[in-house]
Order: sequence, then C-alpha cells, then structure tokens
Amino acid sequence: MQRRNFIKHSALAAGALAMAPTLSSFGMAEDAILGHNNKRYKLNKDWGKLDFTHYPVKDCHEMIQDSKGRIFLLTNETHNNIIIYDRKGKLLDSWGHEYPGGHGLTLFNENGTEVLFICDNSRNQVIKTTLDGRVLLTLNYPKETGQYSKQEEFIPTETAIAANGDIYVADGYGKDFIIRYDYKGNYLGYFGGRGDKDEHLLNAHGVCMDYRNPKQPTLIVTSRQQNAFKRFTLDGKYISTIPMPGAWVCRPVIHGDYLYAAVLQSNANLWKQSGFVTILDKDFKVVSNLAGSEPIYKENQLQEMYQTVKAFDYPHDVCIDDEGNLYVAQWNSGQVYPYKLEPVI
Amino acid sequence: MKVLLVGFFCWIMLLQATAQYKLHYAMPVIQYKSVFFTDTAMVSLKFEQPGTTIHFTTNGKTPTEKDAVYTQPIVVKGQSSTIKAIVFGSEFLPSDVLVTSFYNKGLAIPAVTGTLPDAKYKANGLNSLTDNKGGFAQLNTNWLGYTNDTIQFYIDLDSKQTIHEVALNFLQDEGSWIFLPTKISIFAFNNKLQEYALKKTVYPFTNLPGKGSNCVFTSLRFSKKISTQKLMVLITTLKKIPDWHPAKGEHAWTFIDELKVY
Repeated sequence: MQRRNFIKHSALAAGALAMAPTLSSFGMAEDAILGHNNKRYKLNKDWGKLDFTHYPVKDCHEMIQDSKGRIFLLTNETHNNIIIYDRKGKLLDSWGHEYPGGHGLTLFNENGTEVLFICDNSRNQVIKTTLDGRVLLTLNYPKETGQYSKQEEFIPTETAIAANGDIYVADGYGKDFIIRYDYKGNYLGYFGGRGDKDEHLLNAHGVCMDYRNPKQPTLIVTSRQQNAFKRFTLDGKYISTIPMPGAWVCRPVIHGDYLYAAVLQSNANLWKQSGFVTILDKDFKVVSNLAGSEPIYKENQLQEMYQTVKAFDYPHDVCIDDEGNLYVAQWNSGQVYPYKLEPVI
Repeated sequence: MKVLLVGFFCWIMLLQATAQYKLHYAMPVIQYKSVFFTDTAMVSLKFEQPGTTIHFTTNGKTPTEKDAVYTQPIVVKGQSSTIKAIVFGSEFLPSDVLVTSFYNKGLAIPAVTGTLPDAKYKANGLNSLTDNKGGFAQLNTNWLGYTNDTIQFYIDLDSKQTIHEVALNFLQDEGSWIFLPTKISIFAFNNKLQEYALKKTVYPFTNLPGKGSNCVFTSLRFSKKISTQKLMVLITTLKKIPDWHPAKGEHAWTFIDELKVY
C-alpha cells in the first residue's frame, strides 16, 4: 500500500470508528444480511447508482431480466423511462420519454422474440414494445366489459402474459378488474373487481402466471389493501386466497420454486417507509422476510408481518436474475436507484 | 511501520465486522384496544426478529439497554401515561423511539351535539367522540370525517363541574388528504350572561409534508380552573391542501375520534 493512501485511509478509519453509524463515509459497501431460513441475502445499496444529472429516476417501479442477462428498470421519469443495466450495475442503455406513468413492466418471449408490456397509469394504457422501445400494440380502456365509461377510469398497474400469448391486465388503480385479451389484443373477458366476496379485489396491484404446477397453471393476483394474494384459473375462476397479514404486497414474481414480492409497507406503520420483501415457497408458506419479521405460523395461520430493519423505504418490485440475485426497485423513496441483494449460502 | 500496518489491518477488520451494523432496527410494534382507558389499559409490544430485545420506559425518558426488557403486557393507569420503547439487538443499530400515550376517560360527557360528520365517515355519529375507543393511526371506523370550514361541538356535562383541560384526538394522513386543523377555541357557558365566553385558543399545527399517518392528541389547558356545565369547541379546519401536496388547493379532510374533558 502506498504511504499516502495509507494515511488517508487511517484518518478516515479513525473517524469512522468514532461515529460508527456513518461508516459509508469510509467508502465501504454498506451491506447487511437480511432474511430468514435458506433465503438470506447480503444487501448492496450501491449497485444501481448512476449519474443523476444524465440518468435520473423518479419512482423506480418495476424490473425484469431479459434472456441476455440484462436488467431492465422502468421509472416514471420521462428523461429515460427504461434504464438497462448489466448484472454488475453497469449502465448499458436507456430509452423512453413517453411513459409519464410508467408503472408495470412485464417481459414475454413471443416465439423467440422478447417483448415488453408497459402499464402507464397516467396515459391509462398498456403498451407492448420491443426491447428497444418500438411500440407494437396499445390497449385502451376495456369498454367491452361494460364496466367503464371513459379512459380515465382505467388505471392499469400490471400485466401477465400466458404461454399462449393471452394478456391479463390488472386495473389496480382503477376498478380492480383483471381484463383478458388474446395475443393480438382482442378482448376476451374480465373478472375480479371490488366487492365483499372472495373473488373480489382491492387494489389489484399485480398479476402473474404460475406454471410451477404444470398440470394446473394459475394466475396469482395481488389484492394489496386486503394484504393478500388471490389465485384464479386462467379463465378467471377464483381458487383460493393467500393471506399476507400486515403486508401491502406488490406484484408476485415467480422464480424457480419460490414466489417473491416487494411489500410496499407494513400495516403496523402506515406511510412511514415500513416496507420489506417477502418470499414464499411452493406451498405459499412464507419462508423469509428481508428486513421484515420472522414468519410465524400459529395453528397454520400466518401471524402479522411487519418491517424489522430499516433497509428499504417503499419497495415496489423485485426481480430475480438467472444467478439468483435479487433486485429491489422502490417507489417514493428519495429517488434511489435499485438495490441488489446477493444470496448468502 | 510494521506496527502501524498491523494496527491498520486491525482497523480494517474491525470496520468490516461492524459494517453490517449500519442499518437500524425498525421500531417495535405496539398493540392495544384503545389509547383511551377507564381504569387501566393493557399494552403489548412485539418484535419478532432473532437476537433482539425491546427495552421500555413509562417515566417519559428515552429507554436505554439498562431499562426494563419487555416480557409481558404493560398495565397503564393514571390520567395519562406514555410508553417509550426501543429495539436493541446484535446485528443492527437500535431503532428509533416508539412513543405512544394513553389517556384516561376523564369526566363523563353525557351528550355532545353539533356539526355532523360527512356521511362517508360518520362512525357512530357524535357518540363516537365519547366512546373511549380509538387512537389508531389508520382510517378505521372510529373516525369522524369532515370537510367543513369549521366544526362546532356543544358539550353538556349535566351539572356544573370544575375543569382544567379539554382535549381532542385528530388523525393526520396526508396520503388520504387528512390534515390537522389550524385553530381550536374552547368556550365556557356563562349562566349569568347566558352566553359562551372564550376561554382558550390555540393555533396548534402547520401541515408539513412527509409526516405519514399519526394520531395527534391535542390538549388545551386553561391557565386556571373553570367551573361550568356547558362547553363549546370551535375547530377551524385547513381549507386548502398545501402547495406541496398533489391535491393542492382542494379542501382538506379533518378527522376526529375522541373528545375529552378533565
């Protein structure tokens, strides 16, 4: 080590020790181990940091990984709605100026060509694009349902695309219906909506395909204000509810045998940056909460969950890459770039 | 030089060992039936995270690791009591201080009349103000919601009483357009003059961003005790949501769940 560096580092080290809470001034990765059981991760808050003057973000809403390993982030910052990273957090590309309400981002492999579905809740539309942003299809409000009288009532938050190309749109900030289209965008039907029955939804913020049981593919829909996921058949018949007590779950993300979801906040501490990340096994049992309480089942009932570590503010989505790393995008969290969490073996 | 280098590597190792401690624990979760109680209240705390303990005080001081470890529900009594609690643990830095106060039911209030709440948030009508239920910082069914410019409550204590304080519990929740009032006045009825006389006015709040959801118990104490059977409370609400809010210029909501006289 060069003498000059050595002196600089020692001085900083001494300073850092004197005020342990601000170790990051030392330039060291600010990491912590989060989670429970076999799903524990080391937090890296610096992974996605970019030059804010050139690549700004507002809310970091959702993330996906394409088959080339690239990580796509959707933000509602129209300077660059899509930011593309490699796994190490290096900026690869950016595009998009026309999604002021960019909220939902879903990847679909369409006969070997990957495409994106963007839900824009300011434009009240769902837009299908190529990976470099060329628009392929736009879905407007689903008047065929008979439930809508104008575009503004439709505030889509998420899409899920079935293997046959059918598009499921969650109107999570509108009327909480799940609307189904074929791959060309022809209307097929709808289900969900608000009400007090099991099949009803309140803040249907996310939707995903669940092909883990090949014999029974299902849809999993978020009912965020009810703190639950709800399972439906592909033609919209209600199957069951997975209570997530205390947790404002965002969209379900399935990777391997597990279901991952960002939890925007805890019921126990509303609108106070009380989010965490939850992980459920194949049987929908919570096995780990990253920065959340230890999952406890009493007589098969999951007990209330809540934030236990101030690692996140308002997590809005998780993405799991091909190497098992987890990325967290956050809403309304001081315009932070996404965090990366690496599994701890 | 060698010694220095060894020393330096010790620093580095120490720093790496403590680097993960930089994050803080979240506050413990508190559970209770109501922050308003008759004789006593039972208050539970929880924090299900291995390697942590909750330390608490009821004397108003900020808890340290030397203060009591929470093991069983805390019994609250007196006119009011404040529980302060912090999570300490082996992996992260201590939490912020959880502060929750509990209030005795005070004098019996046989009847409250006055401004009725909006039909959407009417709870059990004005009776909700004296039901001793509430104190939850969430939009539950205990809260009376208003969009009026002013709210008036008339309190009849049935007989002349000596009182020193009137208190109201408000909800603050900017995400739901719920803001705190800008002015509160208390009037006492003067039998001789047959009119209400102003006893106290406060301008209690400025509505700043980023406060989250909170219960705000607001106490108006008189400089000297007064004797009266009837009181009137006049609340001036926030007419325009501040410019920093997405709904700027709209009429703010005011939410109240309890009214107390001591």
